[in-house]
Amino acid sequence: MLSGKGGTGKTTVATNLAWTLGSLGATRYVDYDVEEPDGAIFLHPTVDQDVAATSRYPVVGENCVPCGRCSAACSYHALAEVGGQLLTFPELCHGCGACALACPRGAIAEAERTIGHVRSGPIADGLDWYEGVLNEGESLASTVVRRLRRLAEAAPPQGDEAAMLVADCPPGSSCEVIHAAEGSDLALLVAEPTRFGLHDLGIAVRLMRALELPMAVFVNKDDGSGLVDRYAATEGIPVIGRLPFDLAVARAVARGELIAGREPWAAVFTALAEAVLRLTRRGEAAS
Amino acid sequence: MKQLAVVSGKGGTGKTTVAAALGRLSGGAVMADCDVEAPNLHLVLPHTPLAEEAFFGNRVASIDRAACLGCSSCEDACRFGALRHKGRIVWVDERTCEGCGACTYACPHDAIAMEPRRTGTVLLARAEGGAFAHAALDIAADGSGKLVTEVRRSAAVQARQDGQGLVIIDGAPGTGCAVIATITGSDLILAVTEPTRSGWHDLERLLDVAGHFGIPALVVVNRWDIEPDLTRGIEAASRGRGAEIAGRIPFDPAVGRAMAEGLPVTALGGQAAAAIEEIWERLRARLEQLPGDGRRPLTLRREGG
Repeated sequence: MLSGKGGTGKTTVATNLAWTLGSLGATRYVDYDVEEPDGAIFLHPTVDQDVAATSRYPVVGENCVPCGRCSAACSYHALAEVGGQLLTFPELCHGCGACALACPRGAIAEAERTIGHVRSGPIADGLDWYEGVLNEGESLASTVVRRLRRLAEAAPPQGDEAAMLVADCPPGSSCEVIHAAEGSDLALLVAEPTRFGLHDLGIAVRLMRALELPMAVFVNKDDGSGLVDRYAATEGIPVIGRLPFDLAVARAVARGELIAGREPWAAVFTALAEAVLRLTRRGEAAS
Repeated sequence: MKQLAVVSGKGGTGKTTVAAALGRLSGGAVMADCDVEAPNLHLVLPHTPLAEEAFFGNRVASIDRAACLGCSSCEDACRFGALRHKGRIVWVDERTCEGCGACTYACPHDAIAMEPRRTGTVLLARAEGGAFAHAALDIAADGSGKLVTEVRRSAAVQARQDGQGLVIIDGAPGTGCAVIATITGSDLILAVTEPTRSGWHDLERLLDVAGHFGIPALVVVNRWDIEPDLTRGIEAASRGRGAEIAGRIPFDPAVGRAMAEGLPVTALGGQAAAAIEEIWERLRARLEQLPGDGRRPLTLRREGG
């Protein structure tokens, strides 16, 4: 689930969809928005697993004769010679290991530092939660996303083959979105009918085309203008659900409440869950 | 020259609406859209394009087929899983390649070179008030942080050329690479949030990042009257993290109308526009107190990432 633009309602739709899918069969909700994970605010999981996400960084040994090869090899300015001494900047390091490979004296070892966490736990029968969190001040969100994906996809299936995984992706269109979305059976785009929303939906659609993922659109805060519907029709992308603009929804979401268990919104999410199940099964049949 | 970064943590809180309005009120600040992954400022800032330049922000491993023996040393060295070999042929997954170059050091046959990859376009335009720097990140390109840094550089160069003392930066949501590239070296942060649990949670994380880099921050709650209790809670929590309150913006349908017409909301007037005018006066006073021109305490971290 993604959107391009932030604040269109990805997490609102993803948490309510996951909650509804969880009542139909085994479901995992995975919060890949590691810079700002908010799914737990709505889903109230019990955290039973909390693992550090780490990145490696260079540790320079006694036998270093600053020769400049490691700092020349580093693409991230994480090593520098200053006054005949080699300095390291772990916060800039991407953990690629190029410096250790470039060092002719084997003087560089690596240590690990924590840059975030990946967590998981149950929400309800049939519904499990996973989240990644990037520590404040850290920039390697992709490392946490990759670590989270390993955790979320390594978990043993909870029963049937039709277990669903709802991936709540970050906004934007960069590497983290790609690492979270790649290989999905369906890209569900949460769109809002505004000029900004439409522009960024276009970016998300082009990104999903590059990843060759089948797509569907959910119109959130629908004002009846048809702005998103016309765009989706032009692009040949099915609209599989909509939630009308409603201050009651805005207030419930503001307070961190799920709305899928309440009328009149329950029907919206039941229909969406059925459409998603249909489309992802068709995707499996085609592959 | 001083730089004001408008950021939010959570997406969709109204960063771009506020940034565009502040730009108009400033009467000539250079504008920089640093949300390069989902840029929107150009949609509400009438402008004339001036120049564009391709940006090569990444490198990608390229294999010399004649020299490669398919030994898989590179595959073992790559920590990002970007190299895979099938039989004796090694393939580079360009979307996964981080451009670190570790493989070139691991290859015993000197068969890998790093080639520059275009990741986007830096665009320079003239808006009604002043210069406007923005960018288009190529689809599925990596390295938005570096492109952000390039947009900021372009905006700073323009500001110096035009003798303009203020750059207003419209930032990306989040707290990671793109946001860090947006705020490092900025003089002041304006954090735009909304009265929701998510907005609150994300703002606290953002203020911690601002604190990490030692950049002073002001907070504004947009659409504050949707949930007044949450607004008060957010303001108290912000003060607790050392941030000042810049003001509140009420929910106002004129914001949506301005967006639809492609104009800053201050061009239409109304309650939200009036609130942003007050916020601008406060920001202007706060900016005047700052030393500016990079005289802030330095941090060792560089821009980009």
